[in-house]
Amino acid sequence: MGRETDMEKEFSESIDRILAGEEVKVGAGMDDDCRTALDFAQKMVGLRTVPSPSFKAQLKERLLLKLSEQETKAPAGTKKNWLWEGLRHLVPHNVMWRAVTTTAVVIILAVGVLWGMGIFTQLPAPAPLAPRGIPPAPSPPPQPWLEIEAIPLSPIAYAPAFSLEEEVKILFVFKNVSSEPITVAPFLPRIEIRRRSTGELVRSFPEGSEQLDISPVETVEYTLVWDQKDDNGRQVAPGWCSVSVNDFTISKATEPTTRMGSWIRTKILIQLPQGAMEKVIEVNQSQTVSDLTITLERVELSAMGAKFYAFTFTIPPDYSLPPPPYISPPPRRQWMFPIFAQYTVNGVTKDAGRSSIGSRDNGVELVWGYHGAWVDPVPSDTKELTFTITRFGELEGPWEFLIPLEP
Amino acid sequence: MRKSEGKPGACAGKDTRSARETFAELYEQYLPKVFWYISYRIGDVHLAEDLTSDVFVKALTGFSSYRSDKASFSTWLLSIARHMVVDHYRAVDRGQAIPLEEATEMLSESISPEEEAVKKEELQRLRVCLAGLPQPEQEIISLKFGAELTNRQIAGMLSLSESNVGTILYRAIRKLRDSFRGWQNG
Repeated sequence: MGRETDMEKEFSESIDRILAGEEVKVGAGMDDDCRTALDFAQKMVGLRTVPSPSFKAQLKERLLLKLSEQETKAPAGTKKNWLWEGLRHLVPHNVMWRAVTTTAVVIILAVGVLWGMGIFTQLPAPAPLAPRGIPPAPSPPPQPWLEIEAIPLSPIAYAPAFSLEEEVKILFVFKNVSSEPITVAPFLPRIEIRRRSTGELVRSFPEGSEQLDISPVETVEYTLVWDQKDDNGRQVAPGWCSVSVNDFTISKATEPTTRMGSWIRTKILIQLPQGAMEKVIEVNQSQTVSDLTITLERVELSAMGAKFYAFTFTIPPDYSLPPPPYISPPPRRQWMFPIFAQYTVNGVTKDAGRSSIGSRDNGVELVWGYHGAWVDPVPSDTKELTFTITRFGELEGPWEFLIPLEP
Repeated sequence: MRKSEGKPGACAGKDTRSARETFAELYEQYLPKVFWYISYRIGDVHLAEDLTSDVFVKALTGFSSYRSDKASFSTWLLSIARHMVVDHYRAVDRGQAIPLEEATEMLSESISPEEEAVKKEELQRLRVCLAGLPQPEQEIISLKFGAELTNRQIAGMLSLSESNVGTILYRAIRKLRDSFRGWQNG
């Protein structure tokens, strides 16, 4: 085995120790190049992100609900066969291998039992089929067992839109999806309404002083009424707003209390009093700044908002896209460099946020106002509309486009 | 306003704690690895969360097709994640735009704002550097640092030799280090 191969092997083993949280001692066989690479690997581990607590909790709830649904839908007898078929495959055929992998099999067995028989469901279920002598699993983290929906009660069927100064009603539905009573405190939790474009807090509804007990499978509804005033009593300007439920706890008798952060959001649109401009404008203007050419191809204006479609075929230095067809997933460099834009309506500048990304054969498509990234509607009486890409990753703009509003 | 659905008394579930514990343990064990893997491959935290959800839902519904004699549970779960990422990129190829969100907003809560700012910037740069690698190297880095697989597991998954994985991993990390240094040195 060559020196290089030895070093690679030692390097890999060191990374495994880093990932296991163990101390790494650099061997004599490692040169400086290898040591610094190992230091960098350590840094990479330290930079890893973690899933948000609310995401973890919501996904767990979703999976448990799905288990319940599967259990309910499966015909009698099917579940047991399905389970045992799964268990049969989980049993190792080789005795030695069986002995070595007992721990792993135990885990898989538990999954089989769990998923196959629907232990988590709210229907009567037989005792778990875990083999004897298996040590009990450690205590699970707290689980919320709560579903919350926020539904804008808009007079318009197809959109969460409200006229200016109209009362905004949002139905909050709290559902206990567990098999035990739960308590939500405080009730109502604090509700915040923020401007989408800036993230600015416009209205905060303080938390209540009580707590809510919800029985299993019970649903509790609360309708929030907002007069479209901000915290200073002023009418909020038209545009998209987000709604969130914040800082509350969920507790059960059998588990520790869980503290939740910002739990759920919905969006609402305060409509323009004069109405929104509704048209599709083919712009097709190109601007070159910092050796980067960007073409604003099209602008779509509707009552729900504005969408700006741009395209760049000049890839910045150090970046390149391979020729299609892509055998493996194409590179995703685009998200690496945030691309910010603004738009100006009759002299008033608003933030369009960061672009969404799509890849084309020879470049990158940029879209502002894509699903989930709402850009406010443009008023119907707009005389002048400009769109400015202020920054493309590390490249400073502006790439500025005057959008022709007249045909 | 309070509205009841169903009969609470119909919920047995008295003897489910042990199974729940096991499930919670498995969920806690595999969720970060699947999430990390997808985060490395996709780069967008929110999108990674969506795809992670899809992976677990798919695993749940398709568990009857799982064969332990063919692959370990983690390998099987990661295979679903890999296919999910490939499907995602195919969707991108079809011209569907992908929302661009804050890729670095969920860092450890125990660091100061200054440290967090530095860490965010470094993470973002790391992803830039990672995206500059060839696809096989990106995949191996993601499986190693995301899914925390051994070289042998990665080799089995990618039909490579174990030593080949080690070689590619070593080469890829050095490239990343050099690229990252280039950024730090201006």
